[in-house]
Order: sequence, then C-alpha cells, then structure tokens
Amino acid sequence: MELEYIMHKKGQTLFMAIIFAVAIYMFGMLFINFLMPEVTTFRVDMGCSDISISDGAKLTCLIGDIAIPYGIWLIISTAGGLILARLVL
Amino acid sequence: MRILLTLLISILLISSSSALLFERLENGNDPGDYANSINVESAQTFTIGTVGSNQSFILTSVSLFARATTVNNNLTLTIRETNSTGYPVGNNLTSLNKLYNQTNATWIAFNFTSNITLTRGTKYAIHLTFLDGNPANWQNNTNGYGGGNVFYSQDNGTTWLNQSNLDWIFRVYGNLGANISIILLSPSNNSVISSDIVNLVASANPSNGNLTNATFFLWNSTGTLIGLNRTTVTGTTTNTTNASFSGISNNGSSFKWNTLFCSRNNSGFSLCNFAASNFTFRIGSQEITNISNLTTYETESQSFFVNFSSPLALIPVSADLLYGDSSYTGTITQTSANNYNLSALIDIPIGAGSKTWLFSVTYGNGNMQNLSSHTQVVAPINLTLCSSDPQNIAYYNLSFKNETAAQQNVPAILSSSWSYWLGSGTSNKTLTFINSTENFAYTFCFSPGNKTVTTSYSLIYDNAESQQRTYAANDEEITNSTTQKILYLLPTSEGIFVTFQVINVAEQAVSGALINVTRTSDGVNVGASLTDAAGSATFFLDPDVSYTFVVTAEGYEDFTTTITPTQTSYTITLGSGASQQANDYSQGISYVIKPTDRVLNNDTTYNFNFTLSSSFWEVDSFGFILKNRTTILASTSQASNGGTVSVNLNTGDQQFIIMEYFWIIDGNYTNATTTWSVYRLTDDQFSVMRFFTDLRAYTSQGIFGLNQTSMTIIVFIIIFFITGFASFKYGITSPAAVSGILFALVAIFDVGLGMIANPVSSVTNFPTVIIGVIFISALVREALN
Repeated sequence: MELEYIMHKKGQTLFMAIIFAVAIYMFGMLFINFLMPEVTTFRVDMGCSDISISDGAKLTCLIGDIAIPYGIWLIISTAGGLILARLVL
Repeated sequence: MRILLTLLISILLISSSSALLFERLENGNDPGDYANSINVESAQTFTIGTVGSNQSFILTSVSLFARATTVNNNLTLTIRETNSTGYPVGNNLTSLNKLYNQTNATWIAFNFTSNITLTRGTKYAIHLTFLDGNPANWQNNTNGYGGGNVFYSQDNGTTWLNQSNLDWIFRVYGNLGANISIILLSPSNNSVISSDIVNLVASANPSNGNLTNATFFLWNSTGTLIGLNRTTVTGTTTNTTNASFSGISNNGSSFKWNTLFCSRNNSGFSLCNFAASNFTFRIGSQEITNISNLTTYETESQSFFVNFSSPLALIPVSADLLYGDSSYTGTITQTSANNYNLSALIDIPIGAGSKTWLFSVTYGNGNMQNLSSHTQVVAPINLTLCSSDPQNIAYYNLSFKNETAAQQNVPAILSSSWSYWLGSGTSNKTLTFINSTENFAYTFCFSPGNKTVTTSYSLIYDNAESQQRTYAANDEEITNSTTQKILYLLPTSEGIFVTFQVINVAEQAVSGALINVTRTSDGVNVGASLTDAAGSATFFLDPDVSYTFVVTAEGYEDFTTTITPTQTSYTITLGSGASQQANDYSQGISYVIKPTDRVLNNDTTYNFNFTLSSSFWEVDSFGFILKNRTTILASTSQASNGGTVSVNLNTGDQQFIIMEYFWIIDGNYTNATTTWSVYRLTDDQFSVMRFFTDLRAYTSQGIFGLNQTSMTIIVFIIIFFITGFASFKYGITSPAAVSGILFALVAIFDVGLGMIANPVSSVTNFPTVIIGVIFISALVREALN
C-alpha cells in the first residue's frame, strides 16, 4: 500500500517535471530566437569578421560566439536536469 | 612686312621730297680772284633749266665756293629776280645772313626755310653784300656757266656792270615741293563701328601732278598691320576713294588706319604721302535710339530705353544702367541678329542737378562697352511746413480737437518724422519736424505742386491739458487736394493709459504691427501706433468710450476688435495670416513600409515597398533608397501626391538592409530610416563551430599573445588532462584504450576544430595521422597478445 502511494507520487512529480522541462525548453528556444539577430548585430558592430580588431574586441567576439551555444546548453541542461532529477531521485 | 613697306615708302618720300641739285657751276679755273668791298654789290645770275632739270622747285639752299679774307666775314646772300635783260635788279625773294671765318676755300651753304618757289625757265640772281666791309674771295670760272654770269655794282645797286665772261662757282638746291593734301573721311577719329565690315574712305588733293594710287592701311592696337588694300586713283584735284575690310576679329580693342596716296608730276617724279596722323576707331555697339525724359524729379520712377546695333561677333549678355554714381541692372532684349533693346526702370536717387546716364554693355567675351552718355536734369522734391513759393501748395493739413463731446479745436505741440517719395519707395526723402509751441494746425506743403506723393509718417502730439498721443500711417498718398487730418487729444483727467500687446498663436511678440484706434460711435481716429520690439503700443484712452481697434501686420490676418478700455493692458493674438508658413511637413503624412518582418533571410528576394498618403500637404515626390552601411543597393521615387513605390531586392550576403524613405513638399525634404537584419540560416553562425572558427582566426593573428603555437600547447595540456582523468577515474590502463582516447581527442581538436598546429605541412592533419598510427599499432599489438 505505501509503496504504491510512493510510486504514484513519484510518477506525478516526474510528469510535472517533464511538463516544466518542455516549457523551459520551449520558452528558452523562443528566447534564443530573439537573441540570434542581436548576436548578428553584435558581430557586425564589433567587426568580428575582421581579424585586425583589437585583442579585447576579439575576446568579446569569442564570448558573443559562445553565447548562443551556451544558452542552448543551459536550456537543455536545465530541462534535462529536471527530468533526470525526478528519474534518479 | 610693315617695316619693309615703311622703308619703301620712306625711300619714295625721300626721293621726292629731299633737296635736289638744280643749277650749278662746280668747277673753277681761277681760284679766289674776285673780292668785294662794302660798296660793291655783286651777283651771279642763273637760269633754271640751263644745267639742271627745267622744272619749278622750292629753293632749299645755295652754296658758294669761297673763303674768308678776315676773321668773321659777314655775308648776306639774297635771291633776287632779274629784269627782262637779265640784270639782277628785280624783287628780293629771300635773304639770308651768314657769318663765316673759313679762310680755306670751301663750299659755304646758305639754307633757306622760306619755301620760295623758283619757276622753271626763269632767270634769277644770287646777290651778295658784305655787312662789315670784309670781302670774301670767290672762286670763279670764265664762261663756265651758260645760263647767267656775274654782275657788280659800285653805287649800291643803282647801276650794274655785266661781267659776261665771268661766273662764280655755285650750287642751287631745291625740292620739287609737290604735296598731296589727304583727308581721312570715314570712319572718323575715335569713332565706333557696329558692323563687322569696315569701309575706309579718304580723299586726296595733289598740288603737283596726277594721283596714281591709294593704299589703305589698317593696324590693330599693338601696331600690327592686319589689312592692306591698294586701289588705283586718278585726278589732279580732290579724289575720294575707299576700301573695305571684313572678317576682322575683334576683342573690343581699337584699330588704326591711314591712307597713302601717290601722285606723279609731269617730270615723272613721284610723291607719296600719308595723312598727317592716323585715325582710330573701335568695333563695338552703336546706339541707334534712346528714349528717356530730359527732366525728372528726385525719387520719381523713370524708365530708360536704348536700341543699339552690335557686330555679330559681339553678343551682349548683360547691361547695367549707370545713372550718376549709381548702377542698376538693365534688361536686354534681342530684336534681330545684331539689334538689341536695353531698358531699365529705376527710382531716381536723391540729389538734384544734371545727371549723366548711359548703358554699360558686357559681351560674352567678357569685354565691356559704354554706349552713348546722355543727360537728365533732376529737379528736387521737398516736403516742408508751408512757407513761400514754391513751398506754398498745401498737401497735408493737421489740426487737433478735444476728444470730448464738444470736440473743441485745441492747439498742440507736434513731433513728426516723414518719409516721402514719388516712385516705388526704393528712393525716398525724409523730413523731421518738431514744434514745441502749441499750434492749432500745421500745414505741410510739397513741391512740385502737381505730383502725388506717397508718405509714411509718425506723429506725436499733445498739449498741456492732454496726454500724448501718437498717430502713424504707412504708404499714404497725398496730393495738392489737401488731406485734412484731425487728431484728437484726450484731457489727462478723462483718460487712462492702455497698453496693447500683440502676439501670435505661438505667443511670440509681433513688432511693427500697426494698431489703429477709432472711436466706435463716430469713427474719429484717436491714434495709431506701431508696436515696439516687445509687441506693445500704448494709447491714452477714455475708459468710458468704446473704441475700435484694427491691428494689421505683415504675414498675419487683420484683427479688428471693439473694446471699452477699462483695463490698463490688453493682449491681442493675431491668427495665421494669409500666407501661413507651417514647418511641420509630417503633418497629415501616413505611410506603410514592407516587408513588415524586421529580420530577413539571406539570398532571398524581397519586395521592398513604401506606400505614402498625405491628408494635409501636397506632396511633390516621394521614394526610398535601399543601402547597406556603405553602398546604395537600390532606389526608387515617384513624383506624385502619394502612392506606392517598390523595388525587388535579393538580400544576398547582406547583413543589414537600410531603407531611407523620404517625401518632398514645396522643396522641403523630409526623410527617415528603417532597418532589416539579414541572417544566414544554413551555416553555423550561432554554433559552437563559430566560436572555434573565430578562435582559430584570431590566434593566427595573435590574441593577447596567444598564437597557434601556444594554442597547441594549451590543447595538448587539455588532451593530457582529459586522458589522464579518464584513465584514472575509470581505471583505463590498456595502451590501446588510452591511445584510443588520445586519438579521439586529437582528432576532435585537430580535424574537427583545427586547433592543433600541423608541424608537417606536407601531411594534412599530421598529429591525427600519427596518433592514429600509434592507436592502430597498439590495437594490433593487443590483439596479437
């Protein structure tokens, strides 16, 4: 009896975690879409295509380049972490 | 060419006008034998044509071969006519005294300037006397000359003895004295020719001989001969001839001309002469007619008209009327190929007297020419308080009344300033009249008394009982039908000062606005004043009376209101005038821009369009320009009051598309911009790969000292630690497994990310290859084991 109760509760939290994870993924990807033109603008304004820019500008460009991948990784890891945490725990 | 010709002419002239040797006996056979005393007169007769040419000539000199017997022999030589028998007793024609002291025998010349003519075939005598009694030794010849001989007289010329077998050594010189009187007729000296063809006309009258030819010479201003025309002429009296020259290039400078006439006398001698001096002329415009008034008045509008002809090569491009010391722009009208009208309308400037006016024409080649000058007499105009003639024709009578029910006539002091003119007002005269003594009336007279005068004036008037009031008027016409102006004064006890401030809808003060105040009941004008810089004007008004205020200002609609001035200040707001100048050219403008997405795809053709409509303004044209940050990609426009303009453009590799859209209203350009971003969908612009691509590019140039070598070292350290961690963490000790992990990491960093420098450029991705070989070797070794 107690085990079923525990199993039902765990299943519900997992279901909720999946929903949250999907929501986080959806909104995250939507947000990433808005970031993309800004990254393009950032790259154009910084002149990242020009290798003669200053070292500081280059470093800034590298940080901007990693922004989107980092954001995607963040979203996926958050969503995945939510699901995995419920599965493991 | 000119030099040679001049030399030839000089030779001709010299040959015909220099002294010639006519009669002479030049060799003696009895030297120095004949002496004269003071009481002895002697003479040598000679007949023209005996030895020399038998023709009349002008005596120039006589030479005798003699020697002085003492120092300073004083000899008088006279040319004398002879009688019918050849005796030297006729009239003296000319005489010359000479002092000489030459003791060696030589030719002694007596040069005559009296220009006497000795007639051909006639006998004359060379008559000698000694003033101081000192004789001369004269070389002589026995019967050496056949046209005369020596005579002498010992009784002071009463009787003469004929020494028929004796002749003196003598020479008689003369010139033919022929002359050609030449008159240059046309063009006259310092004249202007308005034709491209120059016709030179001259006449000649030979004094001796027949005319043979005439050569016309034409030089430019630098003395270069530019034209030569030789014609044949005949006649022994006045003969007029001419020659034409065409195609003369003209730059506005002057030309000189003269004519060389030649004649030949019966003896075959030729004589050529120029006119005494060259004539100068210029090719330019010539005034044909002019229309203007001979008299005028100051400030009066006057028109000036000139019709002129101009050579075809000279095209007038502008003209100015020079009137006195002033210059005014004129108007040119071409009536035919070489005929033009000039006109100008001006207000005569201040200053009476005789004024000179002319039109100054500027040609297309930059040269200028003043046409004929003319004179116009300017009479003065005068507006003053009336006095004696001519200031006795009343134009404006000013009187004062009380602004009370009785409207009594009252005296007042007056301070006035006037500006008056007859024409348009660009030229005007002024009058300032101030009278500090109260008078019932002031009458202003104008001279000349038959003109209509336009005047702007301001009057300040008051008296001891009243407050000061002002009255002003602009551009009021007054004539000899006297304008009666009654101004009203309000006693101090019955009125208050009321200030009116005039502003516009933007609440800005309007200066220079004219406020005219009249009593509403009877229209009596109680004052008029211009607002000051603050837009204010103050009137002394009766607070119990209704007044009508009319405010006029340039650029605004007239404002009329009726007020009983119980307050001390009022504000009048002038509405937009008939010619409102709004500066909001966005008013009523609406537009739609497409595409509406702010982010576009690359390598995609879009239709960029701009739709504009205007509900307020009349749009002259509108359109847009598509560009990136540096280059214009496309543009379009349309000259209409609204509509749609569009352009299809492929975004290509552009990162931004900027649209600068605009519309033009009454020459006013209004624009704005909108921007689209273009991003690439098919590449790795937002992937981790972009990071490593940029990192690779930056390290190739160096970033904070980090280059490819140092990056390789960093990658090596990363590979080392990952391999070591994996081996330690998961207990991987197999060489094959470790080398497999190593190979995978090297492949990722080398082949995948290109972060490892290739030491062997001939082998692509050498680090991966060598680790791969090691990995395969370890695998094979482990499999065999």
